[in-house]
Amino acid sequence: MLKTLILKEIRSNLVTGKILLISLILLILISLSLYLMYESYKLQVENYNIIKPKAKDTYIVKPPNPLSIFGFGMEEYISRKYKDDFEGVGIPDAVTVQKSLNRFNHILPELDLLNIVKIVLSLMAIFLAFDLISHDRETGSLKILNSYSFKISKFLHTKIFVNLACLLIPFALITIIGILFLIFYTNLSFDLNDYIRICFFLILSLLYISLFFLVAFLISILFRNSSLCLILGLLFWASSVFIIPNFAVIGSRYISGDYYADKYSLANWENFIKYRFLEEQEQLKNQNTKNELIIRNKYVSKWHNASSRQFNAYIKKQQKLLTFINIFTRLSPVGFYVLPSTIILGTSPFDDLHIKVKYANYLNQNVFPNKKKQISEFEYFDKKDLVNIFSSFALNFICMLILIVGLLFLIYNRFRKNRY
Amino acid sequence: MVFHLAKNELLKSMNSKKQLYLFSIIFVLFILFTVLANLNLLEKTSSYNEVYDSRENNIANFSHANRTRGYLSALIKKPRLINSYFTGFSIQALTTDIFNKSEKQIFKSIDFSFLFAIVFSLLALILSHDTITSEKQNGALKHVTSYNVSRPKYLLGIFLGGFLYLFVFFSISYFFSIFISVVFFQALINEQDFYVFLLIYGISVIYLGIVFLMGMSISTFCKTNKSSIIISCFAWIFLVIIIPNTAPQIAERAIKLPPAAKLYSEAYKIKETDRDRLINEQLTRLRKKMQIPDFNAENFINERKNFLLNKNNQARYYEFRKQAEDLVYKINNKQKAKVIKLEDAFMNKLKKQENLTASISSLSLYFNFLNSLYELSNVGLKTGYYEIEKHDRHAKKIGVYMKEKEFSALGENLLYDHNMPIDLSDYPRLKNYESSISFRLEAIKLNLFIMFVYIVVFSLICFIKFKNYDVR
Repeated sequence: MLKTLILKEIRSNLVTGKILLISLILLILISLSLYLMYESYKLQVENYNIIKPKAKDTYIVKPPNPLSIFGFGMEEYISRKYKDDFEGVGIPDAVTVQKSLNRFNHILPELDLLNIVKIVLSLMAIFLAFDLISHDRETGSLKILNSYSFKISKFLHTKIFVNLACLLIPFALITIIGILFLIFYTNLSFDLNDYIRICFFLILSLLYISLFFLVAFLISILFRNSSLCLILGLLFWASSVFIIPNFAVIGSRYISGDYYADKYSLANWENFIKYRFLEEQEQLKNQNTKNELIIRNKYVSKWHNASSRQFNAYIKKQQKLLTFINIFTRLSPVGFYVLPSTIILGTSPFDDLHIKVKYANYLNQNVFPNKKKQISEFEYFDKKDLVNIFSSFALNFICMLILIVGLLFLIYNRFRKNRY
Repeated sequence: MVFHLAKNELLKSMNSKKQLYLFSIIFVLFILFTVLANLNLLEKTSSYNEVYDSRENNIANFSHANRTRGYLSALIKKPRLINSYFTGFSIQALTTDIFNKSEKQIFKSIDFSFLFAIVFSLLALILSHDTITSEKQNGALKHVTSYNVSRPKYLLGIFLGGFLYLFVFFSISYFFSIFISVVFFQALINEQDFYVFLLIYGISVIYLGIVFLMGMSISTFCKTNKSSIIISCFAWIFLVIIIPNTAPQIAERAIKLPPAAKLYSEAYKIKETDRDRLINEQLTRLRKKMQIPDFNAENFINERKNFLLNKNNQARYYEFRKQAEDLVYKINNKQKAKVIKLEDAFMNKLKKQENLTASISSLSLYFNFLNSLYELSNVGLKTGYYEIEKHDRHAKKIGVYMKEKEFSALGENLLYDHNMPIDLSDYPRLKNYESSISFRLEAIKLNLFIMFVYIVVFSLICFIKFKNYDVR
């Protein structure tokens, strides 16, 4: 019986051309994405080679992250020049950002694997599952099937796993082939740490797609009309992918009392003008040349203290904001996927903040109050980062598994009650 | 006949509970977006006032020629309701001035353009995907075509009936949203913005009509509702996500630009290193010619004071300062012109790249609509460039103003230094930086034409396919 059911599902998918259509779209999208993102990475490397710091420079330039090919996230603002000037620590400068300057990129999301899974694959999962049960009900085949003696679990297993496999297997295969192609035919070099991160990212992607599939499947069980199931599925997709995450960000900004980099930068610029002005006035009045350096140091230290206060306030608010975003986005499956994936790939907003704090400490140790003769090398990563990455993966992996098990439980439970 | 069919279709839609629920949800979403846009406007306005006051305070209390110049020409735009509805490209994204320090968000922020272009277009597809297929499936089409009914008229009736429902709902939501903003949040709308809101309304209705037509034309091809909705959604993904997203990347491959960092380092060399060297060389020459000693930097103030005790020296020194100021001004301008030339060459290439991106993207209906919204709201690329030009002219004006101020300060006090306080409170302010409505309409005429082409193409597909439909 199980074999017959499996064969029936596979046949129906092959006959309707679903697998072919899905594979074709995935092939176009994934290969295009990997190629374009790799080209973008190459441009970043070119930029990096021009602006990278020399031995005694106190500014730092974070080298481009090859994993950004899979999930660009905040990479544009992470892999760039960090400097300390009158505008404050670590505020991005338009010309040192290593991304393309084409302004259309400002209004469109990057075509990376992360966005493809987030938007397109989740939509495909909804299309695949929205009528799996409701269609059988509408055509009456479910009634005929019920007249035979068969196990509900077997029927549902087949429906769920065969259809899910039609989506997940082409995705996984095309992605793996694409990554292998990148490794063997380009100059990219990944280490073991990178491979582990890619695996974590792929596992989260598969779970995320499964979540959307199961939700659509549940809707298909709950409602008899296929078009209603589709509308509800699309509504779930639009709200999960676009509306909830964006409202979560807006809500978090209101709660945390947003403090933009613009404001922080402007406040620092004003401080700089003010203290330079006061210093110059004192220098003009000063007759003794010996005092010049003392006056200068006095105002530099005043400016530095004011700047540090601004920086600490900025970091505190940003951390608060990110914590709220991290919590609120979890109202949608996207919350378990996008931010954690960027954390795993090293392109999350946390990474940006992390480097800013590290760089401020580095400056305090090496440059302020007096520049050291021997400046220590800036380290971008430490062991703590790896622990963070693993804990982020483990936490979201478990959460998604719990959601999947919960959905499966609901599916079996509702189907047992609503099967006729 | 057409009106009878349209009325029937409209009644069918109005009686459908499913559609009513859907519209209720989207209506709530509309109100939510309105509230958020207005809260955003309030926040931006308070931030604007804060920044503006602080700048004026700084200019009044801490300004001197040396560091305040760039501060005077920096553009701070007053927030408007229309730009809270449609954020588009900010002027900051187009220039590289000191305020270009915005932080990227991991989730790109959404505004009304998202609601119109994504949510409403999906809604239009959901409403139209089964207009013909459902008639085919339940056999009603066989009955209707067996009567003496003109097929084009039948199609027109179905389109009018289905679309009228969407149109009425959209119109109510749109004007109710503006009503909330004006009455409850007391947002100010000037005459120009009022016309812009009306124009955006018109273009949005056209856009929704085209998406509805697209759904209908796909429906004429398909046999079942399911295949129709799947094809419609894939067409939507293609037009909304794939084409606009790949366009910048394809354009970047076709027109390659050198890395931005290279331009930056070259510009820095011309503007800073070369300029300082040139100024030093020419000042030394002038000093020799006019017999002005090179005061020791460590004891500059005292040495200069002693030198100016002699009255003969005073006149010579005044002449020297005037010539030196002029020299520095000229060298600065010359070096700036070189940088501008360099940047222009880069920007021209970038513009070409962006134009190609726009051309490829204009294949997508979504982009044409989005671009129209942005240009009309004065946050598009063309309107942005217009503002930049105006801003550049203003920056030049500031440069002339500063030179005059410095000369008059020098005339009053021979010991004048660039770091001395200077009254700049009457600096020329950039008041009107907005483009006119006719300029904005000119900017979107290609988009409107392409949208018109879409209407013709989808209508033709619909009519031809439906006319040749074999009922058997």
